[in-house]
Amino acid sequence: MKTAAALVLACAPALSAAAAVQQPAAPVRFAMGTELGGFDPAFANSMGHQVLQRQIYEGLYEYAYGQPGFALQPLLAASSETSDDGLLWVFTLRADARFHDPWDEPLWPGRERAVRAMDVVESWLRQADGGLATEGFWALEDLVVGLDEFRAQTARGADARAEAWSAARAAGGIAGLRALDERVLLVRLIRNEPDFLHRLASSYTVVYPAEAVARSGADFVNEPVGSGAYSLAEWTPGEDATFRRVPGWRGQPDPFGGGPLPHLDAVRFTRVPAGSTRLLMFDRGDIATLNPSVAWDRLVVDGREPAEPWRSRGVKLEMVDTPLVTMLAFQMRDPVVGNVPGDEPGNARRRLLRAAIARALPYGRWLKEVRNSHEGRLATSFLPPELAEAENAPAGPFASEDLAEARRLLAAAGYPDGKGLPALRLDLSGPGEANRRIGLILQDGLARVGIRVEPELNAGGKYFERIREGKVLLFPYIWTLDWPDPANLLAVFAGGAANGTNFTGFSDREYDRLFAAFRALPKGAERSAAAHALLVRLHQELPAIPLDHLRGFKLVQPWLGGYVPSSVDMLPAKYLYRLETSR
Amino acid sequence: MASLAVGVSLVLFLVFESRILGDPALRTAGRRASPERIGAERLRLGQVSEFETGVLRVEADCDRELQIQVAVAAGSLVLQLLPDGPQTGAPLEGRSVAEVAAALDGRVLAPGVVLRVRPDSLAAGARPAAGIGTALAGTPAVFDDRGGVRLGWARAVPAPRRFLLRASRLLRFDFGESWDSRRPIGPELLPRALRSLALGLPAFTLTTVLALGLALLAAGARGRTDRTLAWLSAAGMAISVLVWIVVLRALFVGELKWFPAAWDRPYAAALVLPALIWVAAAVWPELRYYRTVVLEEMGREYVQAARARGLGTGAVLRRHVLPNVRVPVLAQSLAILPFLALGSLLLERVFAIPGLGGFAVDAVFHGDEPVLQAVSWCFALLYLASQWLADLGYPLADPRMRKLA
Amino acid sequence: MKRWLLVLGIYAAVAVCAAFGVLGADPMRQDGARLLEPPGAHALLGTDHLGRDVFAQTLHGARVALLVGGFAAGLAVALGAGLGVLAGWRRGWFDALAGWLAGAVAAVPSVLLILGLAQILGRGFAAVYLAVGLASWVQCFRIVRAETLRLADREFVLAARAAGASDRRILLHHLLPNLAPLLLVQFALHFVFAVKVEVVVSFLGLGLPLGAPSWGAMIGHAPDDLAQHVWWPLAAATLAMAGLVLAVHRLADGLRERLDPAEAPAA
Repeated sequence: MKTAAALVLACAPALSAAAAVQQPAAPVRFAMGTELGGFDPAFANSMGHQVLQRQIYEGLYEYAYGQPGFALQPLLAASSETSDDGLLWVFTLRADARFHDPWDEPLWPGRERAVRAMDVVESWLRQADGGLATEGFWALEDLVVGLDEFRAQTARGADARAEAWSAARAAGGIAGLRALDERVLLVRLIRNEPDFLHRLASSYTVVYPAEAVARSGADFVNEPVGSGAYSLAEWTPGEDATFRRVPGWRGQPDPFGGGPLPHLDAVRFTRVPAGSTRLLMFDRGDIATLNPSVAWDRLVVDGREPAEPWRSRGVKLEMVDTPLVTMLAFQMRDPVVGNVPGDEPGNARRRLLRAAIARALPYGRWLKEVRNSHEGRLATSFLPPELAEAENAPAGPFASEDLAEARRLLAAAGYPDGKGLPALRLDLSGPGEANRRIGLILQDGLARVGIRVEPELNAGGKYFERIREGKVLLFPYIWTLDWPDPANLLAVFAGGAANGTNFTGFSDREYDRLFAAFRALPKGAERSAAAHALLVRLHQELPAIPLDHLRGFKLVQPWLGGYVPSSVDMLPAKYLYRLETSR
Repeated sequence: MASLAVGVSLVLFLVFESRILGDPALRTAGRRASPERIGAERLRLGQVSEFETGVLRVEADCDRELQIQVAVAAGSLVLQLLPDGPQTGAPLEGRSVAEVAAALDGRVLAPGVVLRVRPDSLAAGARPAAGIGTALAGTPAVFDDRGGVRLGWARAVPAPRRFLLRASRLLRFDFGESWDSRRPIGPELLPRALRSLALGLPAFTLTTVLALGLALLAAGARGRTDRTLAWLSAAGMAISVLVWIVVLRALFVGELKWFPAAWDRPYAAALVLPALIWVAAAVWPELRYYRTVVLEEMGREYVQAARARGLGTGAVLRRHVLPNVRVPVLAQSLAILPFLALGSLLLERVFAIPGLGGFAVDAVFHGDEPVLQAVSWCFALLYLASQWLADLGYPLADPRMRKLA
Repeated sequence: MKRWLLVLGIYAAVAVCAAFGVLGADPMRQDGARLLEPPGAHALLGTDHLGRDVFAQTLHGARVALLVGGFAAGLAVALGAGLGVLAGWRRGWFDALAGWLAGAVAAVPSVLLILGLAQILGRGFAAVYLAVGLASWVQCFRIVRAETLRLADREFVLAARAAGASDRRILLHHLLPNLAPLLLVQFALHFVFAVKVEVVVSFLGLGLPLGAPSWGAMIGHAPDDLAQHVWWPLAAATLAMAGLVLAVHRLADGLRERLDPAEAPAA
């Protein structure tokens, strides 16, 4: 027994030391189901990365908080000018933007340094560095003069990489991306990109000091230095992050009329993998918001208000439309459901099979049981309704069940009552409850017309890997628009399989022709019409069946103020405040 | 015995090498991955030592729909017209990219189809064409006559060399970074293990004390108490750990609200309920085990002799049985120590305790080889250490062995 | 003993009836109009989150549990006993090798090993049998090996050997009958382990095919169920499983008592 007691004692310091740290003000806490990634903007491919990084880093622009649509407002940029052809951009940075270094042995006396145009250049060049396997280069790819060449050169081994970097540093940038002086940045584009500024509000184009990367090396992912309202105070890698207000931050006007931002002294994000645990935490008032999980059929009444006892406690239900579309996609190179080059009669039959599936899907149950009734809006076309181009968009042959029509189409496709059709494997993105439910409900729905489906839960990243390899046949796929333009979504069906985003492998000459015409048009009625023509083509060919447009759907504690669920922005904590009515 | 640690990491390496779990580069490169991005990923994961994009450009020219798949088979670069179209291959051994390009240039694949292949840069032209196969491995490059496709070039690192590299780094406790999160692994292991131990050690100690106490009680009282306890332990063992967790949590967190729902400050308070649940779920098999041990001890001659001398049951248990039960208790404790450092997978997941167990489970799900290598390496060393300690500890704990020594 | 044999018999009968569709018709039929109904007239034990009948699922769960327990334990005992007997009988290099292998498997926490194997093998019945069987044979191996070593020096074996009996004959006619009760006990313990570990694997997201009526899936869904006060799938699966596990456990105890009266628990 003495041994055991000694072991307990050995462990005690760890506990007491932890308990001794006193909090000045309890942080407002949020729980997330996914792993909290890290703080390197070059690797920001998941929500677990982006929510954390949003608190620390700033880009030239940000989404205007609390405003509908996708309005932008300058963040690090003080002003911008552009040439008539939209190819030349000149940005002037704010004079009062400063990096704050919270770590031991700070980089600069006073822990601060002004943000300079060269920081923007180096941050974007690092995103383009071919030797780094970065995740966000696609946001700048084929856009900035000289950047793709810089990427190719840096991918050519250590020597070429060092050479490219030192040349860029010496010249204050590259041909299309250059610091003109401390605060003025020049960007030259390859083509007119209507959504260029939206790209500058993304997680991939934020600005950070090169010194911090050099100091921390591989640990930069744990030791961020940014110019935002908060800095990282405590960090349990992957699990828990506490941010504290940067002392003397430059401030920002509150869109709701309060004092200068930020309001909260501290915010905290914790990874809580089990949904039921997040629910208990919300019930106890530990966390500020809760995403109602697919498994909780009884916590929200009719998708409109929180169930008791939360409603009488003042818990709010916040909903926001999100620019994304959930699709049931086909592998278009598959000989059972897709297109076989040269086999026109067969392709026509397989088109009928896809149409039959589109008519047999259990849309009602999908909405009620997968989306808690109001968490999604059934899709009548591929475009999320909040896009301007979605207005009067042609409706496709889906969104409502028609089993008789489905049976007729199935028979016309050569599979009366599903006879002769092999069981279709349905690949799902993970083993979670939502995917299990989706698998079982789709299986049950399609079985009504005799189509057999075998759901397969792919753990880890296997799902995307299988899609990449073209090994999947039928799979739900969510496309979140990176900026509010239909091109962002419609592009994934264009260009055959040469690009990495075409997840269906759809390759259609007619579609590509229409897409090229559409892409060249400036925003306006003509462009909308061109987008509609693309939709008509997609509705005919059905490389994927749109299911719904998901809503952001959150329960919010009565004491949290300033919370506006945003469809594009990742929970910028600087806008939040605590209401005086205590919990 | 140290062969065990190396053996485990070799097995892990072979599992990942076999690609049963898929191609890690395709997985970590994510859904927007272009072939170029996948190449960069292979470079990062150490599968290749050199990678360059677009050394060869393949274009087709025809008057109808066309899909050509580029693949590598048996040392040849194969360009195949889909579906089941004519194939054309060029032997790669000993030839350069420029030579392959020249061999394929303008070759007619089907009526009306002309294929053009040319190196994109002069420097690339001198390179062995086998590198294209390496770059393409696992990366389907399907193209059509509209854009053509640019093929990359890579130099592979042979598997044995990769294993030696990894093993030598493991020996130096240099674990590298996680494939998945890209965070350095080394600094995360100890804090996570300590958190797992902070739950496991008190819970295990409490379980052992309680089980031993109940076992002594059962052995001392015999009869009805013994039968009741035997029944309880059988019933307790028949209930799944998950049921214990879920039901006790619903009671103490959901209804009574006595404990926090997740890991939080003060940590000791957050660990009370998980530890109690651990005890509630684990005490039954332990009770069963210790009851057998105690009964065995009580059946020995010296105990019978002591009883015959008129010693009461309590005194017998205290003076004779308890000291001798120390050996199996110590053995059990030392054997379980490494497992305590790995924590309880279920409790850590449900109570959001950022321990080592959850880390390992995530790594299994994500197929994160460096994390699994690091965790299993440390675990194996700990396991060996505990066995070694047990060998050392027996003589100290057992008076009989001490006398012999 | 007899009581528990009867209980086990009832479970087996339910499993067979369920397999042939006599009992609990169509346990996986979903009914979107009847989600999460509490026990009542329509469904004896209520319905689950997809409107499936909990009672029918519980009955069919017996079939799945017997399959998982039976095959996984069978594999573990076959592997453990086979290697154990050979190691104990042959000794020498084979013993060393098998001992090393057992040490390596024991050095990996079993649940982690099962998760890893299940991840490699994919989802399905065979995958679960294999993963659980391959990860849990070590205990059986160690006990059988020790017992074989003990028996090998006993007079009847020495006598048989002196009489010129072949190895095969000694193993089959002398060792195996003496090992049989021990193997039966081991089988029971592995059976219980397999049935219980299926719950854990199921909760963590691997295991049987989606839509297989298993108690593990029912219990695995319980955290979310209980959060909204839905207790019936958990209660049904827990009680059904506890009955089976208890019966097998008590049978094992009874057997052990016959083997070695001193070591068995009372009752």
